[in-house]
Amino acid sequence: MSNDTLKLDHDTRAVIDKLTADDRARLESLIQQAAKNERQMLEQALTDAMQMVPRPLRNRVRKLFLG
Amino acid sequence: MNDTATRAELEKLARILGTDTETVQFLAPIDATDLRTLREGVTDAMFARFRDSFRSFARLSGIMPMAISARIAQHVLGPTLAARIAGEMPPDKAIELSARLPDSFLADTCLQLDPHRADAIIAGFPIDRAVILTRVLLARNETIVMGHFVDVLPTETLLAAADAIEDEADLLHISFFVEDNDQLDRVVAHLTPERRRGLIRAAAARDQWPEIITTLQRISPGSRAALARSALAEDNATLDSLIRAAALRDLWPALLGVGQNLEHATRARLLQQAAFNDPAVVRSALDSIAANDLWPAFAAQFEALGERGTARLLQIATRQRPEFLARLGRQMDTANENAVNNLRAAGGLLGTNLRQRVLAACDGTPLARMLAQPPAGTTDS
Repeated sequence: MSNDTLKLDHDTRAVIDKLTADDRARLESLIQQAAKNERQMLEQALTDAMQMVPRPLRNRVRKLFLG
Repeated sequence: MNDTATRAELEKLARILGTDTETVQFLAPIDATDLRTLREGVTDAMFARFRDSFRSFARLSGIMPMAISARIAQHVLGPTLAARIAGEMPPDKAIELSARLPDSFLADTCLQLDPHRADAIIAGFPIDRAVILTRVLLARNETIVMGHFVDVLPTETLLAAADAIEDEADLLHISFFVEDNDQLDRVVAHLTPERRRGLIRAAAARDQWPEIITTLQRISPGSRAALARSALAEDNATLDSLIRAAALRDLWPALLGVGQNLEHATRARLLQQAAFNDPAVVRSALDSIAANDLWPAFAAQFEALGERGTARLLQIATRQRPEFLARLGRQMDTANENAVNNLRAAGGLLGTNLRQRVLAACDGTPLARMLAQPPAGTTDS
């Protein structure tokens, strides 16, 4: 989970492309920051959740997240 | 869409971006339809990007004892991730889990939840808990989110929630953010006559006429007539407030649209209010009709003005908006017999000089021909 770029569909891209260059850059930065925050929240949540998982279940839970 | 729709979209976009509305305010000039496309696109992309993680957390609730899952949801995931993950959980599991979470946490989660992604959970959610959450969200003034939820609530839950909202001003405010007209209609049809009158009084007392007129436009003809009748049964001060709000905020296009479907007597009571003697009100209506090309809607309601109201309109238009009369005149070739008789009677109430000026303003149009033949028995004064 390291890539923070979201794949936006064509219609969404078209709306963004109508913005001025400054506003477009500002919005794209907000979207990328949101994706980064979401990734970091999920990574932290996984670490913290593992602490709450009873020891006998930890391997099962690890497999669940690592595939 | 309108400013309110833009405001609602900006708030929802800010939530998915994890920021505040102030930060996304630079997007306010974008049309609300485009903002919605943008918000939905970012939401879809965010879910697609992290769906595997959301699903893994969702499956965790199937492995862990429910008490631990609830602690993880509340103390580790928090409302934002819990809202994202909820849509990936089996609905019965999500509902079972929610029973172990406090109201304030669920209310926080509702703010982050995309109701359309959690519709199966919402469909099976206990009504009594939904009513409690309605009260919590209302106390926090989260009317935009509440409006968003209305779109997906099962009817029984929807009506129980509406009953739990005791102040009609709140109902009216929430209605502005509801997208599904059928759901809005169900609520209005469910309201008692007393609550419908409460909506009208709230609109008059708190200057919420745009909300009520927008609602009227969106509901079924039966509910619209019932609500409009409630409005027009109110006292003259309330109707005066409606007319002046229409003039101030240019609500004429919406009001004329609603009026087209009302019975003659109901329309006549509104159109014959004293506020229509105010030249500023009449000017505003005339300007709006001309600017928004509302001639057919206006022509259909012309007759309800009555001969005195029509005479007053002709007088004000002649003195302040003569070009309006020329345009109105060209529209009158399809007027019905009652409208024609009303116009001729109104023409008979005008003094000679004024009638000459009216005829000059609409010279060569069907209106001029109608006014040139005042009904028998009328005299110039």
